[in-house]
Amino acid sequence: MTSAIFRNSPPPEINDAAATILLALADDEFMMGHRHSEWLGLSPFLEEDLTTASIGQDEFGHARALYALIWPSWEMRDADVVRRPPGSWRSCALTEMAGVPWEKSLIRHWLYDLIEPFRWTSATTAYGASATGLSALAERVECEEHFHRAHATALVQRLGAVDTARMRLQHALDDVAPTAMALLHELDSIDASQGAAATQAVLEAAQQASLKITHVSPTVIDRRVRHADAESALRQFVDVVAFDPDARW
Amino acid sequence: MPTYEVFLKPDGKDGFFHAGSLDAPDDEMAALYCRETYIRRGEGVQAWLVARQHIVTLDPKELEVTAHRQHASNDGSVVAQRRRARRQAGTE
Repeated sequence: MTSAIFRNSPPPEINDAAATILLALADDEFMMGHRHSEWLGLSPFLEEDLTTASIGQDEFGHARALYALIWPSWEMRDADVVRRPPGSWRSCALTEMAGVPWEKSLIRHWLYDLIEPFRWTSATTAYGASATGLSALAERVECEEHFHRAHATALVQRLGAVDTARMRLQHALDDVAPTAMALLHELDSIDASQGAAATQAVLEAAQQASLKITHVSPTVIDRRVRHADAESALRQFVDVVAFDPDARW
Repeated sequence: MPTYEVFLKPDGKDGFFHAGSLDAPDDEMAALYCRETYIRRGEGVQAWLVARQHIVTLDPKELEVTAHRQHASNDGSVVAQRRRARRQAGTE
Protein backbone atom coordinates (compact mmCIF):
# COMPACT_ATOMS: atom_id res chain seq x y z
CA MET A 1 0.00 0.00 0.00
CA THR A 2 2.77 2.40 0.87
CA SER A 3 4.40 2.02 -2.54
CA ALA A 4 1.25 3.41 -4.12
CA ILE A 5 1.24 6.36 -1.75
CA PHE A 6 4.91 7.22 -1.85
CA ARG A 7 6.48 8.34 -5.05
CA ASN A 8 9.97 7.19 -4.21
CA SER A 9 10.65 4.92 -1.32
CA PRO A 10 8.34 4.98 1.70
CA PRO A 11 9.70 6.71 4.78
CA PRO A 12 11.63 4.28 6.95
CA GLU A 13 9.88 3.17 10.08
CA ILE A 14 10.40 5.39 13.07
CA ASN A 15 11.75 3.12 15.73
CA ASP A 16 14.04 5.09 17.97
CA ALA A 17 13.23 7.56 20.71
CA ALA A 18 15.01 10.51 19.09
CA ALA A 19 13.10 10.18 15.83
CA THR A 20 9.81 9.84 17.72
CA ILE A 21 10.40 13.14 19.52
CA LEU A 22 11.69 14.90 16.41
CA LEU A 23 8.84 13.69 14.20
CA ALA A 24 6.32 15.04 16.72
CA LEU A 25 8.11 18.40 16.54
CA ALA A 26 8.40 18.27 12.74
CA ASP A 27 4.72 17.46 12.18
CA ASP A 28 3.67 20.12 14.69
CA GLU A 29 5.79 22.66 12.81
CA PHE A 30 4.30 21.55 9.49
CA MET A 31 0.73 21.85 10.82
CA MET A 32 1.49 25.29 12.30
CA GLY A 33 2.93 26.36 8.96
CA HIS A 34 -0.28 25.26 7.29
CA ARG A 35 -2.56 26.89 9.86
CA HIS A 36 -0.66 30.20 9.57
CA SER A 37 -0.85 30.04 5.78
CA GLU A 38 -4.64 29.72 5.95
CA TRP A 39 -4.81 33.38 7.04
CA LEU A 40 -3.02 34.62 3.93
CA GLY A 41 -5.19 37.42 2.56
CA LEU A 42 -7.64 37.16 5.47
CA SER A 43 -5.79 38.58 8.48
CA PRO A 44 -7.23 41.72 10.11
CA PHE A 45 -4.68 44.03 8.48
CA LEU A 46 -1.95 43.84 5.87
CA GLU A 47 1.09 43.86 8.17
CA GLU A 48 -0.38 41.05 10.27
CA ASP A 49 -1.26 39.16 7.10
CA LEU A 50 2.31 39.28 5.75
CA THR A 51 3.81 38.51 9.15
CA THR A 52 1.59 35.47 9.69
CA ALA A 53 2.49 34.14 6.24
CA SER A 54 6.18 34.76 6.88
CA ILE A 55 6.06 32.97 10.24
CA GLY A 56 4.18 30.09 8.62
CA GLN A 57 6.88 29.80 5.98
CA ASP A 58 9.52 29.66 8.73
CA GLU A 59 7.62 26.80 10.38
CA PHE A 60 7.50 24.86 7.10
CA GLY A 61 11.26 25.40 6.84
CA HIS A 62 11.83 24.03 10.33
CA ALA A 63 9.62 21.02 9.58
CA ARG A 64 11.52 20.33 6.38
CA ALA A 65 14.90 20.50 8.13
CA LEU A 66 13.64 18.10 10.79
CA TYR A 67 12.30 15.60 8.22
CA ALA A 68 15.73 15.61 6.57
CA LEU A 69 17.29 14.93 9.96
CA ILE A 70 14.88 12.10 10.78
CA TRP A 71 15.14 10.40 7.38
CA PRO A 72 18.60 11.32 6.08
CA SER A 73 18.81 8.43 3.65
CA TRP A 74 15.26 8.64 2.36
CA GLU A 75 15.16 10.42 -0.95
CA MET A 76 12.43 12.64 0.33
CA ARG A 77 10.19 14.93 -1.61
CA ASP A 78 7.85 17.28 0.17
CA ALA A 79 5.04 15.49 -1.64
CA ASP A 80 5.94 12.26 0.15
CA VAL A 81 5.71 13.96 3.52
CA VAL A 82 2.11 14.97 2.90
CA ARG A 83 1.19 11.66 1.29
CA ARG A 84 1.72 9.82 4.55
CA PRO A 85 -1.45 8.13 5.80
CA PRO A 86 -3.14 9.97 8.72
CA GLY A 87 -1.94 7.36 11.22
CA SER A 88 1.71 8.12 10.32
CA TRP A 89 1.47 11.75 11.37
CA ARG A 90 2.62 12.69 14.87
CA SER A 91 1.23 16.20 15.24
CA CYS A 92 -1.00 17.05 18.21
CA ALA A 93 -4.46 18.54 18.68
CA LEU A 94 -3.09 22.02 19.45
CA THR A 95 -1.56 22.32 15.98
CA GLU A 96 -4.15 20.26 14.09
CA MET A 97 -7.30 22.09 15.17
CA ALA A 98 -8.70 24.74 12.86
CA GLY A 99 -7.84 28.30 13.89
CA VAL A 100 -11.11 30.16 13.45
CA PRO A 101 -11.87 32.85 14.51
CA TRP A 102 -8.64 34.78 14.12
CA GLU A 103 -8.05 35.30 17.84
CA LYS A 104 -8.07 31.52 18.29
CA SER A 105 -5.25 31.30 15.76
CA LEU A 106 -3.36 34.07 17.56
CA ILE A 107 -3.76 32.40 20.96
CA ARG A 108 -2.61 29.08 19.48
CA HIS A 109 0.42 30.79 17.84
CA TRP A 110 1.24 32.44 21.17
CA LEU A 111 0.94 29.27 23.30
CA TYR A 112 2.63 26.99 20.77
CA ASP A 113 5.61 29.29 20.27
CA LEU A 114 5.97 29.93 24.01
CA ILE A 115 6.31 26.18 24.61
CA GLU A 116 8.41 25.39 21.53
CA PRO A 117 11.90 26.48 22.70
CA PHE A 118 11.63 24.18 25.72
CA ARG A 119 10.83 21.25 23.42
CA TRP A 120 13.97 22.02 21.38
CA THR A 121 16.09 22.32 24.51
CA SER A 122 14.70 19.03 25.79
CA ALA A 123 15.39 17.30 22.44
CA THR A 124 18.94 18.65 22.10
CA THR A 125 19.77 17.82 25.72
CA ALA A 126 18.65 14.24 25.20
CA TYR A 127 19.75 13.62 21.60
CA GLY A 128 22.06 16.48 20.59
CA ALA A 129 25.09 14.23 20.91
CA SER A 130 23.66 11.34 18.88
CA ALA A 131 21.50 13.08 16.25
CA THR A 132 23.96 14.78 13.89
CA GLY A 133 22.99 18.32 13.05
CA LEU A 134 20.27 18.62 15.69
CA SER A 135 22.05 21.14 17.91
CA ALA A 136 23.03 23.34 14.96
CA LEU A 137 19.46 23.21 13.66
CA ALA A 138 18.05 24.08 17.09
CA GLU A 139 20.32 27.11 17.20
CA ARG A 140 19.26 28.31 13.75
CA VAL A 141 15.58 27.72 14.48
CA GLU A 142 15.79 29.72 17.71
CA CYS A 143 17.03 32.77 15.75
CA GLU A 144 13.64 32.80 14.00
CA GLU A 145 11.51 31.52 16.86
CA HIS A 146 12.73 34.42 18.98
CA PHE A 147 10.86 36.75 16.62
CA HIS A 148 7.79 34.50 16.45
CA ARG A 149 7.49 34.68 20.23
CA ALA A 150 8.12 38.43 20.23
CA HIS A 151 5.37 38.92 17.65
CA ALA A 152 2.78 36.77 19.44
CA THR A 153 3.63 38.17 22.86
CA ALA A 154 3.57 41.81 21.75
CA LEU A 155 0.26 41.42 19.95
CA VAL A 156 -1.46 39.46 22.75
CA GLN A 157 -0.24 41.99 25.34
CA ARG A 158 -1.53 44.96 23.37
CA LEU A 159 -4.90 43.36 22.68
CA GLY A 160 -5.04 42.22 26.31
CA ALA A 161 -4.97 45.85 27.35
CA VAL A 162 -8.26 46.58 25.56
CA ASP A 163 -11.39 45.28 27.33
CA THR A 164 -13.34 44.00 24.31
CA ALA A 165 -10.25 42.45 22.73
CA ARG A 166 -9.24 40.82 26.02
CA MET A 167 -12.67 39.20 26.33
CA ARG A 168 -12.32 37.67 22.89
CA LEU A 169 -8.77 36.52 23.64
CA GLN A 170 -9.89 35.00 26.95
CA HIS A 171 -12.69 33.16 25.18
CA ALA A 172 -10.20 31.79 22.63
CA LEU A 173 -7.76 30.90 25.41
CA ASP A 174 -10.46 28.94 27.28
CA ASP A 175 -11.01 27.06 24.03
CA VAL A 176 -7.33 26.37 23.21
CA ALA A 177 -5.80 25.98 26.69
CA PRO A 178 -6.70 22.29 27.26
CA THR A 179 -4.73 21.22 24.15
CA ALA A 180 -1.79 23.44 25.14
CA MET A 181 -1.85 22.00 28.64
CA ALA A 182 -1.80 18.51 27.13
CA LEU A 183 1.36 19.52 25.23
CA LEU A 184 2.90 20.87 28.46
CA HIS A 185 1.94 17.67 30.24
CA GLU A 186 3.60 15.62 27.48
CA LEU A 187 6.79 17.69 27.70
CA ASP A 188 6.71 17.36 31.47
CA SER A 189 6.53 13.56 31.21
CA ILE A 190 9.50 13.54 28.79
CA ASP A 191 11.60 16.16 30.56
CA ALA A 192 10.37 17.41 33.93
CA SER A 193 12.68 20.44 34.15
CA GLN A 194 11.81 21.75 30.65
CA GLY A 195 8.15 20.97 31.29
CA ALA A 196 8.19 23.05 34.47
CA ALA A 197 10.06 25.90 32.74
CA ALA A 198 7.61 25.92 29.83
CA THR A 199 4.61 25.93 32.16
CA GLN A 200 6.15 28.83 34.07
CA ALA A 201 6.72 30.76 30.81
CA VAL A 202 3.11 30.26 29.72
CA LEU A 203 1.69 31.32 33.09
CA GLU A 204 3.88 34.43 33.20
CA ALA A 205 2.93 35.39 29.65
CA ALA A 206 -0.76 34.99 30.49
CA GLN A 207 -0.37 37.17 33.55
CA GLN A 208 1.41 39.88 31.57
CA ALA A 209 -1.44 39.90 29.07
CA SER A 210 -4.10 39.98 31.85
CA LEU A 211 -5.41 36.60 30.70
CA LYS A 212 -6.34 33.65 32.91
CA ILE A 213 -5.57 30.02 32.28
CA THR A 214 -8.19 27.95 34.01
CA HIS A 215 -6.68 24.75 35.26
CA VAL A 216 -8.08 21.55 33.81
CA SER A 217 -6.68 18.08 34.35
CA PRO A 218 -4.38 17.65 31.37
CA THR A 219 -5.23 14.90 28.94
CA VAL A 220 -2.56 12.52 27.68
CA ILE A 221 -1.66 13.14 24.03
CA ASP A 222 -1.88 10.14 21.75
CA ARG A 223 0.01 11.30 18.69
CA ARG A 224 -1.15 8.34 16.59
CA VAL A 225 -4.68 9.75 16.67
CA ARG A 226 -5.70 12.75 14.57
CA HIS A 227 -7.88 15.65 15.71
CA ALA A 228 -11.16 15.89 13.78
CA ASP A 229 -9.95 19.04 11.97
CA ALA A 230 -6.81 17.31 10.67
CA GLU A 231 -8.71 15.27 8.09
CA SER A 232 -9.56 18.21 5.84
CA ALA A 233 -6.04 19.64 6.23
CA LEU A 234 -4.41 16.35 5.21
CA ARG A 235 -6.78 16.07 2.25
CA GLN A 236 -5.86 19.61 1.18
CA PHE A 237 -2.13 18.75 1.27
CA VAL A 238 -2.70 15.77 -1.02
CA ASP A 239 -4.95 17.82 -3.32
CA VAL A 240 -2.24 20.46 -3.73
CA VAL A 241 0.36 17.79 -4.53
CA ALA A 242 -2.00 16.08 -6.98
CA PHE A 243 -2.48 19.39 -8.78
CA ASP A 244 1.09 19.14 -10.10
CA PRO A 245 2.73 15.85 -9.06
CA ASP A 246 6.06 16.72 -10.71
CA ALA A 247 6.53 20.11 -9.07
CA ARG A 248 9.70 20.53 -6.99
CA TRP A 249 8.92 22.56 -3.87
CA MET B 1 -2.68 53.03 13.91
CA PRO B 2 0.29 55.27 13.16
CA THR B 3 2.00 54.90 9.81
CA TYR B 4 5.75 54.35 9.75
CA GLU B 5 8.06 55.02 6.81
CA VAL B 6 10.62 52.27 6.25
CA PHE B 7 14.17 53.03 5.15
CA LEU B 8 16.65 50.26 4.39
CA LYS B 9 20.37 50.34 3.78
CA PRO B 10 21.59 47.58 1.49
CA ASP B 11 24.94 45.92 2.08
CA GLY B 12 27.81 47.87 0.46
CA LYS B 13 28.30 51.53 -0.30
CA ASP B 14 24.71 52.49 -1.10
CA GLY B 15 22.92 54.62 1.45
CA PHE B 16 19.46 54.26 2.91
CA PHE B 17 16.55 54.18 0.49
CA HIS B 18 12.85 54.52 1.11
CA ALA B 19 11.45 50.98 0.98
CA GLY B 20 7.81 51.75 1.73
CA SER B 21 5.57 52.17 4.73
CA LEU B 22 3.66 50.13 7.28
CA ASP B 23 1.01 50.59 9.95
CA ALA B 24 1.70 49.51 13.52
CA PRO B 25 0.30 50.41 16.94
CA ASP B 26 3.72 51.44 18.33
CA ASP B 27 7.49 51.41 17.75
CA GLU B 28 8.06 47.88 19.06
CA MET B 29 5.42 46.32 16.83
CA ALA B 30 6.54 48.48 13.91
CA ALA B 31 10.00 46.92 14.27
CA LEU B 32 8.50 43.41 14.31
CA TYR B 33 6.32 44.07 11.27
CA CYS B 34 9.22 45.73 9.44
CA ARG B 35 11.33 42.62 9.88
CA GLU B 36 8.62 40.29 8.60
CA THR B 37 7.39 42.46 5.75
CA TYR B 38 10.43 44.32 4.39
CA ILE B 39 13.56 42.41 5.45
CA ARG B 40 12.65 38.76 4.99
CA ARG B 41 15.41 38.04 2.47
CA GLY B 42 18.29 40.20 3.61
CA GLU B 43 17.09 43.28 1.70
CA GLY B 44 18.93 45.49 4.16
CA VAL B 45 21.74 45.41 6.71
CA GLN B 46 20.30 48.43 8.52
CA ALA B 47 16.76 49.71 8.87
CA TRP B 48 15.23 52.99 10.00
CA LEU B 49 11.62 53.39 10.95
CA VAL B 50 10.22 56.89 11.16
CA ALA B 51 6.71 57.63 12.35
CA ARG B 52 5.22 59.61 9.46
CA GLN B 53 3.97 62.28 11.89
CA HIS B 54 7.58 63.11 12.73
CA ILE B 55 8.59 63.80 9.17
CA VAL B 56 9.02 67.48 8.30
CA THR B 57 7.27 67.99 4.99
CA LEU B 58 7.95 70.89 2.60
CA ASP B 59 5.22 72.51 0.54
CA PRO B 60 5.50 71.10 -3.02
CA LYS B 61 4.39 74.48 -4.42
CA GLU B 62 7.45 76.11 -2.91
CA LEU B 63 9.61 73.46 -4.55
CA GLU B 64 8.10 73.93 -8.00
CA VAL B 65 10.12 77.09 -8.78
CA THR B 66 13.40 75.32 -8.16
CA ALA B 67 12.80 73.18 -11.26
CA HIS B 68 13.22 76.25 -13.45
CA ARG B 69 16.39 77.74 -11.98
CA GLN B 70 18.84 77.16 -14.79
CA HIS B 71 21.48 79.30 -13.12
CA ALA B 72 21.57 76.80 -10.29
CA SER B 73 22.33 73.90 -12.59
CA ASN B 74 25.45 75.10 -14.38
CA ASP B 75 26.84 72.18 -16.37
CA GLY B 76 30.02 74.06 -17.31
CA SER B 77 29.27 74.05 -21.03
CA VAL B 78 29.49 77.84 -21.45
CA VAL B 79 32.89 77.98 -19.78
CA ALA B 80 34.06 74.99 -21.83
CA GLN B 81 32.89 76.68 -25.01
CA ARG B 82 34.78 79.88 -24.24
CA ARG B 83 37.95 78.05 -23.34
CA ARG B 84 37.73 76.09 -26.60
CA ALA B 85 37.33 79.33 -28.56
CA ARG B 86 40.32 80.88 -26.79
CA ARG B 87 42.44 77.79 -27.35
CA GLN B 88 41.68 77.86 -31.03
CA ALA B 89 42.53 81.54 -31.15
CA GLY B 90 45.87 80.73 -29.49
CA THR B 91 45.29 82.96 -26.52
CA GLU B 92 45.30 80.16 -23.92
